[in-house]
Amino acid sequence: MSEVLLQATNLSARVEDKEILHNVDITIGKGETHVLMGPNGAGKSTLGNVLMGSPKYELTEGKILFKGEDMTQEGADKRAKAGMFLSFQEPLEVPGLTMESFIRTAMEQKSGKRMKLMEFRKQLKEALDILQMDEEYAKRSLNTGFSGGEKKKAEILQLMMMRPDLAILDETDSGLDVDAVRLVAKGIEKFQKERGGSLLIITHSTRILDSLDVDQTHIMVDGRMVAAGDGSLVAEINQGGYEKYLA
Amino acid sequence: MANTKELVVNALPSKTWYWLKINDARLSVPADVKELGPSIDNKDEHVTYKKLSLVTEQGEGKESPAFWRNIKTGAGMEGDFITGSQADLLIQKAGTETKAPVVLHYDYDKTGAYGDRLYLYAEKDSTLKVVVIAKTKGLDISDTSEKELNGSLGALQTRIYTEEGAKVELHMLQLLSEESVYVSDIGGHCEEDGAIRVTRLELGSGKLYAAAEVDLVGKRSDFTAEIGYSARHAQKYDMNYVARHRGRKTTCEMNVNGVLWDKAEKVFRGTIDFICGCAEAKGNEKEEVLMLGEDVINHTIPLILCNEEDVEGNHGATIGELDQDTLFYLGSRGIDPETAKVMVAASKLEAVSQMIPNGEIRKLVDEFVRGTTEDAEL
Amino acid sequence: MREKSQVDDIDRSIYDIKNENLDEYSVGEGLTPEIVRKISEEKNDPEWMRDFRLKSLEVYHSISVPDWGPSIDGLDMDHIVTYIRPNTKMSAKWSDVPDDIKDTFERLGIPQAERESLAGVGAQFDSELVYHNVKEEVAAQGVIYSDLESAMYGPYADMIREHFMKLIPPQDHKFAALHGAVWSGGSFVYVPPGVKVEIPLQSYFRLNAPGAGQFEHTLIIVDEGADLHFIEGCSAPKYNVANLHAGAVELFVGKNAKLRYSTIENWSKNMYNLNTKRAIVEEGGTMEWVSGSFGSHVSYLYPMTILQGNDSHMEFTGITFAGKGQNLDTGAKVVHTGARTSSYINTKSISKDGGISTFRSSVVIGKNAKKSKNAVSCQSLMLDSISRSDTIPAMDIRTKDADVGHEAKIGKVSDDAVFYLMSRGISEEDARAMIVSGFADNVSKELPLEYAVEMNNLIRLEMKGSIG
Repeated sequence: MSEVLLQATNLSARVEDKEILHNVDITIGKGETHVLMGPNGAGKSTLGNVLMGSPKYELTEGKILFKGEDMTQEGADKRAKAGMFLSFQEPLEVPGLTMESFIRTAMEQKSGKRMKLMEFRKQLKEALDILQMDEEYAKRSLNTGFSGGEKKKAEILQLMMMRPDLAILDETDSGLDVDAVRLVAKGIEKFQKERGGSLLIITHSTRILDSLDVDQTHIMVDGRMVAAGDGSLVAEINQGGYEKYLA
Repeated sequence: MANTKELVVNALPSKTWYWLKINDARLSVPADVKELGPSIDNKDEHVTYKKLSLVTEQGEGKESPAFWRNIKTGAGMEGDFITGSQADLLIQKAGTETKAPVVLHYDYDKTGAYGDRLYLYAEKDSTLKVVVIAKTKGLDISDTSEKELNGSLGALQTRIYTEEGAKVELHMLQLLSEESVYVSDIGGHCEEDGAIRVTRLELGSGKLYAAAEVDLVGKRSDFTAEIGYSARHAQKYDMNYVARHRGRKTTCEMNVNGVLWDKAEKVFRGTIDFICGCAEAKGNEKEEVLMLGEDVINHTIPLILCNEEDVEGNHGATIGELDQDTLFYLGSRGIDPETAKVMVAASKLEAVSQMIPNGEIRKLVDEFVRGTTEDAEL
Repeated sequence: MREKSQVDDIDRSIYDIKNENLDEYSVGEGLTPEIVRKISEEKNDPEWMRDFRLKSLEVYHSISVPDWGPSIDGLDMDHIVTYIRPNTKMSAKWSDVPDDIKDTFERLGIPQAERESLAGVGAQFDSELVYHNVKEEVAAQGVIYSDLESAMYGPYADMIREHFMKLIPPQDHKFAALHGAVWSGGSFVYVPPGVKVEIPLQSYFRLNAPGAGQFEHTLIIVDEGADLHFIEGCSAPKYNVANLHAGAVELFVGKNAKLRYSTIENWSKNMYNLNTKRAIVEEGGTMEWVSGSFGSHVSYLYPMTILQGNDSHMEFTGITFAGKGQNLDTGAKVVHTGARTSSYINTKSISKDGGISTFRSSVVIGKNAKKSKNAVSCQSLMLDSISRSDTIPAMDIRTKDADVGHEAKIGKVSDDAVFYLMSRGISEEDARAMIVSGFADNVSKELPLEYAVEMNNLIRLEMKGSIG
């Protein structure tokens, strides 16, 4: 295995009184692509949110190390600055805040220095082009009035611009038509190949994985990791479903 | 203060417990309120400009004082305290539309009390677009220090009448000095398929009394209000908005978005009144209050009065600091909580500003937002 | 001034049974210090209580009637007989209760209700407690459930003096002052620390004599870690003279304690129901209100909760059904003073046949109530255009660390829903009744089964003949 980027051990989490994750371990190396699969309600999204530090869930046990640093108690902004990224299923809408100024602020906050407008615009245009998004999107209010597909694309746009070291993609492909999946996959591929970024892809389907090399596959059922394997496990699940992992 | 009258304004259409102290507001005004007179830019060829004398009861229809007096306003009877002898009357010719919005500047002196009346009339199937910019002369927007009231007052009463199929768009920016009191009162009347759209940004004045009451008389008539405000220091804003649905299929939409900093206080009364006979009417009101100051006080009183079965009325209010979901999302993009709050606060004002087709207002709002957010103490 | 009774087009006879006037005697019609002294003497009050009554009377005369709610012009306090005492003494056994009174209770189903699951019955007939029985196991747990008058002389005398009208002072409003002066009857409940009362305690009030006012006082203290469900039910026959109900309910919820207070109110339709209910909750405690308002001519009813302790919690679930001749002004009030306190208010209201229902609320979050949460949701249903439904909520928020949400909706029974049910062979009348019952399910699912059934029957009765 390559150099360890993320090491989460023994994570247990709950929302209100309901325990959703039970002693989950996951380790992701630099440049690796991991896939997390499992039936509905297995706790996959919860794991993504817990890794990013969502205040909705209470972490009752476990430890999250990122680049060797303990992130367990840190807020989401600290984790993002350290190089983590989460794409949301239902991203936030902020009327009056343009995508453009939001992304620029986020990039400046991360780097701690002001960014030249020309340079920013250039990068933004490149990313928009790959996703086949009109430049006009950048002038619109953040996610406001966006269709489901546009929101997903806008999340990938942010991923491409912010260049994290680890991207957790939560059902980024669900609800997208074939063409949109292809574009989104292109954006992810660029992140994976050119940036050497690590990925944790939470997904139901395998369409998005077609153009990506998968290093490891994890199967989650009822808040527990029940199986792990290489990329071929994806095909196996595709064939046989989760039945053999259900108690 | 000598020679002032204490008035009861912005009364809630249906009273509630007195101990809440929100049934109405008290406004103290000098006995003598002078006319200021706006300076008017972008005159439009299809708009007639008149000074309507209020001293004599001459003239007919829209050119008579009685016609306009009949339109009730949101501040109420006592809010009609302006003593001036004339009103500015703008009439949009039937079947025409204002190209670039007519801009009225009300530039108030640092001291003194001024009050004006503005009457807007849209003839059949016409659209009248008006921008009102009310500010204190020579105001330094970048100066964010706290100031006390100095007895100055600015007041504007706007009455609006739309004939069949006619529309009035009124965009207002208020950027008075924190030393001033500002009163901006609107009354409106819509005939069939008529519409009144008001966008307002309240950014200045130590005390604000803002109100609107719109009578949706004609079938399918509509009232839309998009309101943004920011109050800091010890600013006190008192607002009263009423939509009266009388005609069938009438609609109203009120969206209020504001930010309270420091020890600012705000009252917002929003009433949707469905009167018997307004079948198939729909009314929506939504208020979001972002509370950012340690000592802020917020009053929200959203009324629905209903005397008609076949209607749909909705009210929603969200009050507090930034919610968890917003903080987490922005946080996941590396934005710390303090920056996130300022960012969202600014976006609320920008969202309203974006609806106003006027470059000068946009510029002033940007400048204001920059000053306020950079200086914010959280 | 006299008012005509409301003549309903539906048969409400099972709720409107009336006994022959069997009152022994009653004090005069006006309200003077002499009358208050006489009441005090009759009740054998301790001295402090007599003084309290007289002070309350002074307050009563100094406050004016409210002008912000429904009109109470039909009330003439000078002609309301405030105190009536039935010709029976306290009795612990059902067999001792006189037959005609028993008959009324029988038809209201009280003994059955008791047999079925209720822990104790303190049923009030006119102004005096006539029937009182606490099941042995509840008493054995150390739970005190008695009438307030005799408890004032028992081992809990100091406790009563310490709490009586401390939450609802006579200065609060005119009818609180009236209550302080002439209160009579009611219940005292004390649940000792850690005791969980498994079955609900129930009290059933009835107002029976012409022109009688009912001023019962309920005082409930749930000590640390204890748990209680108290059910109050009301029903009264019709009379031609305006009737007044100005009861008071004071609830003290201790640290980590829990109290649920349920009411299905079905006063006769000439009643002025000016009741005051208030609870204070200590650290970690929970107060739950379930409230159904169906009867009375005019109601002012807004149970209030003071969330004083940190982490205390309140839930209010209510329904109001205003039919012909009714003006029901109901809702809830909550004051957050403790940190991390939370409150949820969920109400439904229905207006029909010219009835007026008003939802009124106030949510106050004080400066120290950091991290507190409140959510209000109110829905109103209009069944015709001669009725009226108003929503008048107010929020007063004084800390930025609060999370406050408000949601109000008003509308009519959906034509699509009626059509769907009718396409399955259900008559229009039944379809509408079903939809209205469904609308009320926020309350019915919070009630014990027999009460939920009664409430649904009431809704069905009210919905009869609502078509055409």
